[in-house]
Amino acid sequence: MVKSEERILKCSGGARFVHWSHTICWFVMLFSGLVLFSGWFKWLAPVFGGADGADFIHKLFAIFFIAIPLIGLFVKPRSFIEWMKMAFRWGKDEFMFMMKFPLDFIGFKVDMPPQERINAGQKINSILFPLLGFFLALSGTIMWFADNFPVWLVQLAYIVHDCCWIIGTAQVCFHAYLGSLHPGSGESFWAMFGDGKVRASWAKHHHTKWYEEVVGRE
Amino acid sequence: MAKGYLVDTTKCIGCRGCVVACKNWNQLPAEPTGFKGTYQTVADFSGNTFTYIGFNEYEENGQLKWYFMKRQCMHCLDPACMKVCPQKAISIVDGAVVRDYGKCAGCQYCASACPFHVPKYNTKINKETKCSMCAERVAEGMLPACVKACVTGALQFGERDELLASARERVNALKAEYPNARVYGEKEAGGTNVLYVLADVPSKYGLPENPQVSALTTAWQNYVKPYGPWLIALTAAGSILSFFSTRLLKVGQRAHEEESLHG
Repeated sequence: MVKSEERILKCSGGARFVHWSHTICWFVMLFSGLVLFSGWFKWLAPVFGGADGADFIHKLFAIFFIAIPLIGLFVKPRSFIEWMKMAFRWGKDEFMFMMKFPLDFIGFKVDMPPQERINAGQKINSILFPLLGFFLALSGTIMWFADNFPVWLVQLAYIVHDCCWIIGTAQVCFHAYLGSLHPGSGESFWAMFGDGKVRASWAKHHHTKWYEEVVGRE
Repeated sequence: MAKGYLVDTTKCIGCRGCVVACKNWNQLPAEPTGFKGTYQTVADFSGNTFTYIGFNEYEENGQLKWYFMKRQCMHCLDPACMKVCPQKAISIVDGAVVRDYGKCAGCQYCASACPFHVPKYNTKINKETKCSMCAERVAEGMLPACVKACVTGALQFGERDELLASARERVNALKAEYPNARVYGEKEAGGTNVLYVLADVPSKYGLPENPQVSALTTAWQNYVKPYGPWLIALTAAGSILSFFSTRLLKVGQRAHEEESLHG
């Protein structure tokens, strides 16, 4: 057993690198993309040196956006597979967690079933973002080289691209809030923002299954 | 009082003078073409080709017949390209659908929205390009370059109403010899400022019979773009709501104070 003040590693350096570099990409591409999305965001254009510049920045960061997870996948393929395996492992505890979560979100005190290293909500997040990223990259490539694809596919790509970034950004709002300012989720902030470690006592309470696996049953 | 021009395909002899005049006036470089088993030299629009003549060959009654078709931007009354342009780079100037290159960011949305597949991407300048009906010439009281160059009178520039009347007259005269003769562009795609006198059905000329903005583009433009982003507002509002409600409901609860951000 470890002392409650001790901290255990939740997110590896590689995971944090991919997470934060992708965060930067997401926001740069979100704002440059908004300029290309609608005339409403014309006021944002000067930030990128005009709509032309926004187009350039968007495409430039698209390369990073695609390259970063591919590098991660190349360097540590196993940890990606492990992560995905865990994200797709759904049992009664996961479903109960999601059923009870809306109450916790509002602020009622609920007893949550024990969770793994990532809880059911984080599992959804872990499935959603790689999936959205994949379809954003795919539709974006079609949009970039629109001349080389059939018209209907380009038209479809516009819809897919917009749906993906809209769903993704909506999820970013939840994700950023739940990972920082939501009471009780606070410690998970340091899993990503700090050295990747969380307090053991917190882990025991919030990620019981994982805690028992790492530290051992008391 | 929108201006436009009438293409009387039955008077066209396929000399391609208009194509050269267009290249000349717009200072567009020539593009090498290969022999593709037809007299038609230019296969399609490109970033450097705003107009071309289609040589549509048919064998009728043991005779070879050409159905010449001068293609260029149709200058729609209600252009789909203008609607999808996020930079508002496309506007209607006296009937001509004109692009402001200073505003165009080369996103290519207009290319896929156009029911006639006219705008083409020019990689070199990162802009979408197409015919502007020589709006800058017309503003100076001149004819569009292609109309000026036409030797047979197949191209006629003027007010749309007057062109439509003369097109109908011409079609009536053609009916005896060409029973399928018709005006094209009066109602197609909501009406266009470029009108055609056709001797036969549009498909014979490679024109869409019923040009329409695709359902995908309409869904994207009318539903996804205006309503989609509200989802972000919804989750952002939900998060803000939760920020306050959790703090109001859990006041004094030690369990969560212990787990605060800096705990």
